[in-house]
Amino acid sequence: MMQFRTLLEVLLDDEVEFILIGGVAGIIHGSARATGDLDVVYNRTKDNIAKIVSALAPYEPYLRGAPVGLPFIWDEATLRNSTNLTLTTTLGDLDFLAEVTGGGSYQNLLPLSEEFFIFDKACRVVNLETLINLKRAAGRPKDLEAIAELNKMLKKQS
Amino acid sequence: MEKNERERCSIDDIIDLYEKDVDETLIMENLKLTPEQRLKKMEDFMNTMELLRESYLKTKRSRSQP
Repeated sequence: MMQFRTLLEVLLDDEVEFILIGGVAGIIHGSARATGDLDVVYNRTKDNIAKIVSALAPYEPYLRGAPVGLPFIWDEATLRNSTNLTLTTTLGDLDFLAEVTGGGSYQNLLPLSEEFFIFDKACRVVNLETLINLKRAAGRPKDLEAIAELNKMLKKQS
Repeated sequence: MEKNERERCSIDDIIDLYEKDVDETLIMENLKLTPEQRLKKMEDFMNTMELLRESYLKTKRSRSQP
Protein backbone atom coordinates (compact mmCIF):
# COMPACT_ATOMS: atom_id res chain seq x y z
CA MET A 1 0.00 0.00 0.00
CA MET A 2 1.17 3.50 -0.84
CA GLN A 3 1.32 5.79 2.15
CA PHE A 4 2.66 8.98 0.62
CA ARG A 5 1.17 11.15 3.32
CA THR A 6 2.81 9.17 6.10
CA LEU A 7 6.10 9.16 4.18
CA LEU A 8 5.92 12.93 3.83
CA GLU A 9 4.88 13.35 7.44
CA VAL A 10 7.91 11.31 8.58
CA LEU A 11 10.29 13.52 6.60
CA LEU A 12 8.60 16.74 7.73
CA ASP A 13 8.45 15.66 11.39
CA ASP A 14 12.19 15.01 11.38
CA GLU A 15 12.82 18.38 9.69
CA VAL A 16 14.55 16.82 6.70
CA GLU A 17 15.51 19.47 4.13
CA PHE A 18 14.07 18.37 0.79
CA ILE A 19 12.16 19.66 -2.20
CA LEU A 20 9.34 17.66 -3.74
CA ILE A 21 9.51 17.17 -7.48
CA GLY A 22 7.83 14.73 -9.88
CA GLY A 23 4.26 13.46 -9.87
CA VAL A 24 3.52 14.15 -6.20
CA ALA A 25 4.65 17.76 -6.68
CA GLY A 26 2.19 17.93 -9.59
CA ILE A 27 -0.61 16.53 -7.41
CA ILE A 28 0.06 19.11 -4.70
CA HIS A 29 -0.25 21.79 -7.40
CA GLY A 30 -3.60 20.26 -8.45
CA SER A 31 -2.72 17.68 -11.11
CA ALA A 32 -5.14 14.78 -11.59
CA ARG A 33 -2.45 12.36 -12.75
CA ALA A 34 -1.58 9.37 -10.59
CA THR A 35 1.98 8.51 -9.67
CA GLY A 36 3.70 5.55 -8.10
CA ASP A 37 6.53 7.13 -6.15
CA LEU A 38 7.67 10.13 -4.18
CA ASP A 39 10.57 12.05 -5.76
CA VAL A 40 12.62 14.39 -3.62
CA VAL A 41 15.80 16.39 -4.08
CA TYR A 42 17.55 16.57 -0.72
CA ASN A 43 20.14 18.79 0.87
CA ARG A 44 23.41 16.88 1.11
CA THR A 45 24.71 18.41 4.32
CA LYS A 46 26.06 16.01 6.95
CA ASP A 47 23.29 16.97 9.35
CA ASN A 48 20.53 16.43 6.79
CA ILE A 49 21.89 13.08 5.66
CA ALA A 50 21.84 11.96 9.30
CA LYS A 51 18.21 13.10 9.63
CA ILE A 52 17.16 11.23 6.48
CA VAL A 53 18.82 8.01 7.60
CA SER A 54 17.26 8.20 11.03
CA ALA A 55 13.79 9.17 9.74
CA LEU A 56 13.55 6.35 7.19
CA ALA A 57 15.33 3.56 9.08
CA PRO A 58 12.11 2.18 10.68
CA TYR A 59 10.57 1.77 7.21
CA GLU A 60 13.22 -0.64 5.87
CA PRO A 61 14.61 1.27 2.88
CA TYR A 62 15.98 -1.07 0.21
CA LEU A 63 17.11 -0.63 -3.39
CA ARG A 64 14.04 -0.80 -5.60
CA GLY A 65 14.14 -3.61 -8.13
CA ALA A 66 17.27 -5.16 -6.62
CA PRO A 67 17.32 -8.86 -5.75
CA VAL A 68 16.42 -9.70 -2.17
CA GLY A 69 19.39 -10.37 0.10
CA LEU A 70 21.92 -7.88 -1.24
CA PRO A 71 24.24 -6.49 1.44
CA PHE A 72 22.56 -3.08 1.29
CA ILE A 73 23.04 -1.09 4.46
CA TRP A 74 20.90 1.97 5.06
CA ASP A 75 23.31 4.33 6.75
CA GLU A 76 24.90 7.74 6.35
CA ALA A 77 27.85 6.38 4.35
CA THR A 78 25.51 4.77 1.81
CA LEU A 79 23.56 7.97 1.32
CA ARG A 80 26.70 10.15 1.27
CA ASN A 81 28.34 7.95 -1.36
CA SER A 82 25.29 7.75 -3.60
CA THR A 83 23.96 10.49 -5.78
CA ASN A 84 20.52 9.23 -6.66
CA LEU A 85 18.85 6.37 -4.83
CA THR A 86 15.65 4.69 -5.93
CA LEU A 87 14.24 3.05 -2.84
CA THR A 88 11.36 0.95 -1.74
CA THR A 89 10.11 1.30 1.84
CA THR A 90 7.24 -0.16 3.84
CA LEU A 91 5.44 3.16 3.23
CA GLY A 92 5.93 3.19 -0.54
CA ASP A 93 8.52 3.92 -3.18
CA LEU A 94 10.79 6.87 -2.82
CA ASP A 95 13.47 8.43 -5.04
CA PHE A 96 16.13 10.34 -3.13
CA LEU A 97 17.98 12.57 -5.59
CA ALA A 98 21.09 14.62 -4.95
CA GLU A 99 20.65 16.24 -8.35
CA VAL A 100 17.98 16.26 -11.00
CA THR A 101 18.42 16.74 -14.75
CA GLY A 102 17.50 20.27 -15.73
CA GLY A 103 17.27 21.49 -12.14
CA GLY A 104 20.50 20.65 -10.37
CA SER A 105 20.86 20.36 -6.63
CA TYR A 106 18.74 21.28 -3.61
CA GLN A 107 20.48 24.66 -3.48
CA ASN A 108 19.75 25.29 -7.18
CA LEU A 109 16.08 24.37 -6.75
CA LEU A 110 15.48 26.24 -3.50
CA PRO A 111 14.70 29.60 -5.16
CA LEU A 112 12.50 27.76 -7.67
CA SER A 113 10.34 26.16 -5.00
CA GLU A 114 7.42 27.30 -2.89
CA GLU A 115 6.05 26.35 0.50
CA PHE A 116 2.83 24.40 0.93
CA PHE A 117 1.50 23.68 4.41
CA ILE A 118 0.98 19.96 4.81
CA PHE A 119 0.30 18.47 8.26
CA ASP A 120 0.77 22.00 9.60
CA LYS A 121 4.34 21.99 8.44
CA ALA A 122 5.98 23.83 5.57
CA CYS A 123 6.81 21.48 2.72
CA ARG A 124 8.92 22.79 -0.15
CA VAL A 125 7.61 21.90 -3.61
CA VAL A 126 9.10 23.01 -6.93
CA ASN A 127 6.98 25.66 -8.57
CA LEU A 128 4.87 24.78 -11.57
CA GLU A 129 7.18 26.37 -14.15
CA THR A 130 10.15 24.46 -12.78
CA LEU A 131 8.20 21.21 -12.63
CA ILE A 132 7.41 21.62 -16.34
CA ASN A 133 11.07 22.38 -17.09
CA LEU A 134 12.23 19.31 -15.16
CA LYS A 135 9.80 17.07 -17.00
CA ARG A 136 10.94 18.53 -20.32
CA ALA A 137 14.59 18.02 -19.37
CA ALA A 138 13.90 14.38 -18.45
CA GLY A 139 12.96 13.83 -22.08
CA ARG A 140 10.68 10.88 -21.43
CA PRO A 141 7.79 10.36 -23.87
CA LYS A 142 5.52 9.37 -20.94
CA ASP A 143 5.92 12.88 -19.51
CA LEU A 144 4.49 14.67 -22.54
CA GLU A 145 0.87 14.21 -21.43
CA ALA A 146 1.81 15.32 -17.92
CA ILE A 147 3.50 18.44 -19.34
CA ALA A 148 0.34 19.23 -21.32
CA GLU A 149 -1.72 19.11 -18.13
CA LEU A 150 0.81 21.19 -16.17
CA ASN A 151 0.89 23.78 -18.99
CA LYS A 152 -2.87 24.08 -18.75
CA MET A 153 -2.63 24.50 -14.97
CA LEU A 154 0.01 27.20 -15.42
CA LYS A 155 -2.23 29.08 -17.86
CA LYS A 156 -5.08 28.91 -15.32
CA GLN A 157 -2.81 30.36 -12.64
CA SER A 158 -1.71 33.33 -14.76
CA MET B 1 13.19 29.68 -18.61
CA GLU B 2 9.47 30.08 -19.36
CA LYS B 3 7.89 28.01 -22.10
CA ASN B 4 7.07 31.07 -24.19
CA GLU B 5 10.69 32.30 -23.96
CA ARG B 6 12.03 28.94 -25.14
CA GLU B 7 12.51 28.22 -28.81
CA ARG B 8 9.67 25.96 -29.91
CA CYS B 9 10.54 22.48 -31.06
CA SER B 10 8.65 19.46 -32.36
CA ILE B 11 7.99 18.33 -28.78
CA ASP B 12 5.85 21.45 -28.26
CA ASP B 13 3.60 20.45 -31.15
CA ILE B 14 3.01 17.07 -29.50
CA ILE B 15 2.38 18.70 -26.11
CA ASP B 16 -0.11 21.09 -27.76
CA LEU B 17 -1.98 18.11 -29.21
CA TYR B 18 -2.20 16.49 -25.77
CA GLU B 19 -3.22 19.80 -24.20
CA LYS B 20 -6.44 19.82 -26.22
CA ASP B 21 -7.52 16.62 -24.45
CA VAL B 22 -6.69 17.65 -20.90
CA ASP B 23 -9.83 17.38 -18.77
CA GLU B 24 -9.92 20.78 -17.07
CA THR B 25 -12.82 19.77 -14.84
CA LEU B 26 -10.53 17.31 -13.01
CA ILE B 27 -8.00 20.08 -12.38
CA MET B 28 -10.72 22.45 -11.20
CA GLU B 29 -12.05 19.83 -8.76
CA ASN B 30 -8.55 19.24 -7.38
CA LEU B 31 -7.95 22.95 -6.95
CA LYS B 32 -10.96 23.08 -4.63
CA LEU B 33 -9.13 20.71 -2.26
CA THR B 34 -6.29 21.44 0.14
CA PRO B 35 -2.85 20.00 -0.78
CA GLU B 36 -3.36 17.37 1.94
CA GLN B 37 -6.74 16.37 0.51
CA ARG B 38 -5.21 16.14 -2.99
CA LEU B 39 -2.59 13.72 -1.64
CA LYS B 40 -5.24 11.64 0.11
CA LYS B 41 -7.36 11.45 -3.03
CA MET B 42 -4.41 10.21 -5.07
CA GLU B 43 -3.29 7.79 -2.37
CA ASP B 44 -6.81 6.31 -2.10
CA PHE B 45 -6.98 5.94 -5.88
CA MET B 46 -3.60 4.22 -6.11
CA ASN B 47 -4.46 1.83 -3.26
CA THR B 48 -7.80 0.95 -4.86
CA MET B 49 -5.97 0.18 -8.12
CA GLU B 50 -3.57 -2.05 -6.21
CA LEU B 51 -6.43 -3.94 -4.55
CA LEU B 52 -8.10 -4.44 -7.92
CA ARG B 53 -4.84 -5.70 -9.44
CA GLU B 54 -4.32 -8.15 -6.57
CA SER B 55 -7.90 -9.33 -6.82
CA TYR B 56 -7.53 -9.88 -10.58
CA LEU B 57 -4.31 -11.88 -10.11
CA LYS B 58 -5.90 -13.98 -7.35
CA THR B 59 -8.90 -14.78 -9.55
CA LYS B 60 -6.64 -15.59 -12.51
CA ARG B 61 -4.55 -17.96 -10.36
CA SER B 62 -7.58 -19.74 -8.94
CA ARG B 63 -9.04 -20.24 -12.43
CA SER B 64 -5.82 -21.69 -13.79
CA GLN B 65 -5.63 -24.30 -11.02
CA PRO B 66 -7.20 -27.67 -11.92
